[in-house]
Amino acid sequence: MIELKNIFYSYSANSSENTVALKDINLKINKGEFIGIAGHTGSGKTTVAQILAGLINPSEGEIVVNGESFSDYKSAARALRQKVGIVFQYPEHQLFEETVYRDIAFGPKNKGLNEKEVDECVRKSASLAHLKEELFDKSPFELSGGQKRRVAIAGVLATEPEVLILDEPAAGLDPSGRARLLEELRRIREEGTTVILISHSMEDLAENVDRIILLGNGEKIKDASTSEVFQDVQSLENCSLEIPEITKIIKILNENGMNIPENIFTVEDACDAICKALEVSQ
Amino acid sequence: MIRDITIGQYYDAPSPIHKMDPRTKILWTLFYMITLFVVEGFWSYVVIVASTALIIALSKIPVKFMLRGLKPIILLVVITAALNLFMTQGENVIFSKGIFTITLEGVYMAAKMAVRIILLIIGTSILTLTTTPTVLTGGLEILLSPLKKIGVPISVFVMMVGIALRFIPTLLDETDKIIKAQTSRGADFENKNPVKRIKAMIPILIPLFVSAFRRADDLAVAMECRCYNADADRSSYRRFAFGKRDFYALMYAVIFVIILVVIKVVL
Repeated sequence: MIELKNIFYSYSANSSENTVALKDINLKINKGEFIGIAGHTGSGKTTVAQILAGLINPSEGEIVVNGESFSDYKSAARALRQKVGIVFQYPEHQLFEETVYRDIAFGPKNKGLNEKEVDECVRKSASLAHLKEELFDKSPFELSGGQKRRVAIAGVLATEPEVLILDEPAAGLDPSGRARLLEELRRIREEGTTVILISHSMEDLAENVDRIILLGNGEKIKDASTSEVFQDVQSLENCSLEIPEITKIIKILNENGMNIPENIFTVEDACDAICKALEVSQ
Repeated sequence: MIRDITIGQYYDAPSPIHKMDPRTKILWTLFYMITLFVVEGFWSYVVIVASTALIIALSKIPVKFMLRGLKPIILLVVITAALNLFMTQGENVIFSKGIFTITLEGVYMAAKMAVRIILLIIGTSILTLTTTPTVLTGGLEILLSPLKKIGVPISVFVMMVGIALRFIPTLLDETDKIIKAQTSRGADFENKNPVKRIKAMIPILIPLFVSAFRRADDLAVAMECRCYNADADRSSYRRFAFGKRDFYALMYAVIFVIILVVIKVVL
């Protein structure tokens, strides 16, 4: 659906030289995928996300949206913005309206929908983000941190994006808030939205995404299915990332004489696999 | 767009201007500003422009970078110039139609004001571009310290200036992020209609204010936790000493004044 071809991005930082943030990035985002983008700080994750969302223009390269190639970045950005919604880090910092309802309605109103359609959008996205309707008349500034974040995410969902990008959406949330957020993302994905999750928590990625794009120093290191990426320990280490804790445990168990397949990345799968291995050995 | 604002930014480069004592630079800037508004006549401005160019060259700040910093004030310059152009009364009328009258004096005045504002911005941005905020406020504190004796709270003032300078880039980044977030939600900042354009600022300004207050609050708490007391008698690990460079700067200032005086007398 969206394709980036040979994308370069450089910016002039405060020094005299241009800093290259992205080098020759090639990506393809297909409809309905749940993709993870991983990489260390400064690897270019957020830059890629902003290009995908049509918020910054690449310095070089080609953008293809729905099979249509754009060499003019301005019209490419317009096409991307209509398709892609982005939830930035700490999205609660962008709330501004007097009431929760009006804040969520900001996006659909900008799209020029009539009042009834706006209302539908708001209610639908609020329920997707697990927001109770009692909160609608409250000021977004008097909510708790977790609630604020859900309002902000609902505000992006209300624009009904085909692709939803989330940049470290769980940062600063407690474990239950985190689990709930990731569950919401899975639901949003089931509704047919393509979801791109940027994170450096390998556990979050392992439990959710089907495909991982690994970035390091502005280059694409690996782009493969989740299990394939987690088996490539070398690449992960080169990006200063780690395999999920549970995979490490399995490796240790195997080193101590057990025989469990190593392509396991979630606690649940590990549970089953360890039980099975124990049965076999008995 | 937002990155064009260079006021308050520091530009790292290995130049003699960067290494100069901040006190010299502050005094030089003050002196420069006064000269800018005192001098008259075409040739004096030629000298000032030339000496500004020389300082920019010495500071190794790319001219492009300097000029980019002027972009946000273009409107101010244009309005000031236009006002002077039409409002200045004079005898040598060049053009007259209805209520609009342009005189030779008006043209001269408009050009002078435009040049003054541009030079003022360039001059002051050289100071902030070549001096880190901490060094700058350190220098300011020493220069203003005599006022402490008559009870002026210099330390508080200097701390406030330091914090303000330090937060300019932070808040610019924040603005950039908020603009992007609202753009992604379909906000239109490029509308031709001025009323809609102003309305479009609300989704940027409110989160920006909220975040500025939040940061101020956090900072206040952090300072309080460390028992910050503005009036405490503290020493600094940064010691400023006048060196050769500062002597050259002084000599340069003297020559500068002599040239300007000579121009005034001769022409």
